[in-house]
Amino acid sequence: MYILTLFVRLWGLVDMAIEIFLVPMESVPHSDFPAHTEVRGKHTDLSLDPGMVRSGTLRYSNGSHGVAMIEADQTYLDTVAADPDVTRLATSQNLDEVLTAGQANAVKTIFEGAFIPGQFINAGDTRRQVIRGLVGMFLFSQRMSGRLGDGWKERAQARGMTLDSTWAEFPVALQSELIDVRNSFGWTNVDLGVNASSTMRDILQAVSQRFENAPIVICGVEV
Amino acid sequence: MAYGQNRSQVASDSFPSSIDANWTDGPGPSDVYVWVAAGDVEPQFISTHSLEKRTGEAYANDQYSVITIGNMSDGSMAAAARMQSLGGCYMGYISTASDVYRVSEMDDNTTTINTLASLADPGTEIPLSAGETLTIECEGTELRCGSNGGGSDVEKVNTTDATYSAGDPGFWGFNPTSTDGSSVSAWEGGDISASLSSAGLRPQAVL
Repeated sequence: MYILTLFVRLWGLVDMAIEIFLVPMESVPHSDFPAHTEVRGKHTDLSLDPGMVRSGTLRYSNGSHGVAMIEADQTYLDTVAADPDVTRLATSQNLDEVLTAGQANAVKTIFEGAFIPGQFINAGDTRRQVIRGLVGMFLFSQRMSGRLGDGWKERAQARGMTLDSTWAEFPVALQSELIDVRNSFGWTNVDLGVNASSTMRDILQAVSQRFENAPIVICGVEV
Repeated sequence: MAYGQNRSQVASDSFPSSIDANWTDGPGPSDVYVWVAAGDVEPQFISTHSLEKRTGEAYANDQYSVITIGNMSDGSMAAAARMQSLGGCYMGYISTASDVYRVSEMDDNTTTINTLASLADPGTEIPLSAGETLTIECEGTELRCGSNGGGSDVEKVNTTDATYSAGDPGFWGFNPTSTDGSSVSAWEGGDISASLSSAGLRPQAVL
């Protein structure tokens, strides 16, 4: 079956497509060297299916979710989309489609369940804008991970922080790190508009708005 | 910035003798590696995985790192950049088991350095041979991996990540066996400077 699939793909008889997903991150034995641990977006391992061409993942954190770009034949992409752990965010054909109110509300619900603020999503936004805003929050979280260690978000949650926790409630050390990360992106508080009553939700939304019009590249594919 | 542009070399090392004070051992579960005379003395990874960080000079946040393959027999190797004090870094990585290139991030872990986050897998399988190079460039949140494997030095994959904004360049290697394994024969690292004529990030596909 593998040989047949490969033959069909090489002869261009199967359409390859690029799609964007929200996937859970997983820690698995490294595909080449099982003694090592590999962290990757679920379904992005190219050895999983001969119909895969390339993949990349932009992480929220190693222990939560990531935005995954997968180029593969449509059969594989549909298999990925059918996984209840996965949300298909866009295809290459519908990236600039405008979300309906129902679609926007559905995505908000999915995001909120993953500790991702969803209030920045509105009917009338394109899928491209949503993905860029989402990626912006993920990049900010990555920078926090680089400073505080991976899992900072999960540790904060374990200590009772929610998306509705306010700046005034954050530990001083967390406030300091957030300021340093803001500065590392070249922003000022004028850019983000954070005050003592701002919530983590407000902060991440302000961050997402900085990226809504900025192209993002994942494994050579620009969104 | 396109791959290979605006590089300014800060240092290079052909390892004419045992590793010197310009390098700092990264964290790992055992001795870093074994030096083996092969013409010059090359860092060779045997029965371990090890990380070397170039600390003899100061590097800009936007930087590159290039390794030249000495021997490619078993395990995996990477050119590393923005290495942190506890070992976290970005890597342009290749595995001998599958000849797969990846852009990876090494988890900043105090006890082991064997958790790799795969950020971009372009599906390119080009085996690297002795004398060929593997490169990682970090510019802002853009990561670019390239190699001259199979021909001229070109970009093989680019992607985006923001975990590390600064650090030191270096290299990483892993060899699961106790026999002679993969080695690095030379290393080069430096800064990437902004250019008024920057071409910007060049994706391979635009959706």
